Amino acid sequence: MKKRKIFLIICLIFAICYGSAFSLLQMFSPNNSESVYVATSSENKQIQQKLKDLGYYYGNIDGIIGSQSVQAIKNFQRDYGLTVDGIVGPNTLKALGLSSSVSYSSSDLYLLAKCVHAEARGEPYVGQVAVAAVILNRVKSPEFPNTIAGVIYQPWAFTAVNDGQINLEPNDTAYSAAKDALNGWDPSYGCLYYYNPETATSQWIWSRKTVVTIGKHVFAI
Amino acid sequence: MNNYENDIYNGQSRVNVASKQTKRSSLWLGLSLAIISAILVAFIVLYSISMSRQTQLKIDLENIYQKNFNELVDNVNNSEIKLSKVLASDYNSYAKKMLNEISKNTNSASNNLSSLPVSINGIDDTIKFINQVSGYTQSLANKLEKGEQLSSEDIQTLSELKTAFTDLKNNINKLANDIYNGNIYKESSKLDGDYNNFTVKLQNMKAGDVDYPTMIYDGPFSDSTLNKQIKNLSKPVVSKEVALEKLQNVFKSIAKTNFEFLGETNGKFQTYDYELLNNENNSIYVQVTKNGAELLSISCADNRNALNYSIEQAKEIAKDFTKLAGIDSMQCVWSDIISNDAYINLAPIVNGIILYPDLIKVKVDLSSGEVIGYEASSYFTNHTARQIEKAQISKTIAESKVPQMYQKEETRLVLAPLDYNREVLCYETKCNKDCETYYIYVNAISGVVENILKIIETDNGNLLL
Repeated sequence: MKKRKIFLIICLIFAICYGSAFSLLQMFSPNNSESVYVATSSENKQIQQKLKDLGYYYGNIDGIIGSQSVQAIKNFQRDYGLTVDGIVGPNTLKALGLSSSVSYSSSDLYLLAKCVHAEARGEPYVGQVAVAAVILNRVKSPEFPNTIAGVIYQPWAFTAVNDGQINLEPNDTAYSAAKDALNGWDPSYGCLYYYNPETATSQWIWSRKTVVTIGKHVFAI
Repeated sequence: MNNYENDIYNGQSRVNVASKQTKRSSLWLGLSLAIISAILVAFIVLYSISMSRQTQLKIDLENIYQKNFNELVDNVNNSEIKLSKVLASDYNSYAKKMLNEISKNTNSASNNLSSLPVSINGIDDTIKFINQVSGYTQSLANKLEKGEQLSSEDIQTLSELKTAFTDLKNNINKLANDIYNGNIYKESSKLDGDYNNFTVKLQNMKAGDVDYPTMIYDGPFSDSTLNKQIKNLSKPVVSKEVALEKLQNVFKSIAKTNFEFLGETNGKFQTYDYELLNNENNSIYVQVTKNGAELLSISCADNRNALNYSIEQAKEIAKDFTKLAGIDSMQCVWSDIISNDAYINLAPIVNGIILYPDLIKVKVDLSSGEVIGYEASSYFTNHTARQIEKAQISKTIAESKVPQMYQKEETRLVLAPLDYNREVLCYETKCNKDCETYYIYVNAISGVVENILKIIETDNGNLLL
């Protein structure tokens, strides 16, 4: 009897171990359904945050569109002359200053904003514009690749691309900064490099001529 | 029961207890061994799966690197052959075809090179050389396209480029066998100083000691485009106090205590940089030139609130602001609303001609009506007293050059910065086709259609492509 029990327990342990091993593997696999859920939830959070900033929503920023959120959306739609249906469609998104992320896909602006967000979030606005401008200056320079994607994905060119932070969803500030740079703003006036003197590991970067320091970044030619 | 029996009984029960205990402890031992081995097996399985995945990913990556390196070698070899064909050709149409192909091949070579795991700044000379050959051959092809001839200087430059390119080709082919058999991934993960081993290897493929000539041309990556001179900042250098005073006159609504000197920019433009805090406590970053304390740029994040101002009001705000900054006679030539901000482009109009190279861009926040962006570097780089040739063809003739399928709306005379350093007097005709807006530029001297721009409406405002 006891032997059978032990046998059963051992079987159970094996089952648990394999179960956990495979669930671990599932976590590593890129196509798990959870990431999709998180993405929509973060979009909802953005909508709630925006409505809260504008004084329409007083609940928690939890990414769940409940009755309180729907009421806030309706009130916002009424005030902005949109169809009052409580559903956040493209027009409501536009009025909120948010845009459905799908329409950006494959555009240079989206990629540029992603790189700015990954590399310089937390930096002053002008510092973010300057980072975007450095990327565009590299596109124009003969010493670098000739497209925005080429420059951003050049091996080891940007730390935040190397460690995968580039895949974070950019915020409004990063978009604005990227747009300004594409429209011709360049507070660094032609710089091709920037680095954070506190964390820079490469030696040669110090030999470049410093043009301006904005926030934590030194911009150089 | 006597004592003896009692003892035996006790002894037996003790033996029973002891054997039970031994059995139990061996059971536990067995159980824990089983748990440990189960965990071990699970980890070994997990580890081997992850390792095999890693190996697969490394192979995938190596295959991409090898593809790019193989294509790089092909592109360099083909360009070199085609360079010699251009030099051996007497026919313009054939030379033009070859030059276009060289430009494409070298452009692809540059793409291949930048897809390889080369340490940043490790082989920038080679990348620059390849990119400039691409730009130069393209500009020569354009020259032939227009019916012009290659000059003797062009031929001389091409033949020197060919010598340098042959060097590059020989070096890269010498390296090729080693790299084909080697492991780019492995070599790129080992560092030798600032550069990885793969980069150090590639440094050998340099275009030798041949001094290739400075390529003088108007085209992409030309040195003349990169080192464009600033034409309109000749006033003497002022102190930062004078600059601050001028700035305070532009931003009269901001308290003098809210201006902070941040530092200097010492690049192509020399500026004093200030941070201002407006009445809503938003930070505005302003750059003022050291020469003559001219307002050069303003950058400020927007707050994206409700729209309280119209685009027409924004145009007036932008014009007034430019005047306040000391630049008169600017007219609004383009405007667009992008997420609650108005982007207004202003240009000088001289003798009825819009000077597009001298643009000033102003960004107006449509909720507060404040100027939150200003960019005048093009104005100071290009604006100068120009001798503009008179138009040789009339507006009507220019409009007749616009293909019939377009519905014409409006035509105006403009000085257009067409490619790189070329400023061309053109008639700009705004027209429609299939509900889409186009701008067509007809050369006002020769009557040739120089450029067609199409407006693409996006979520982020209109793009001119």
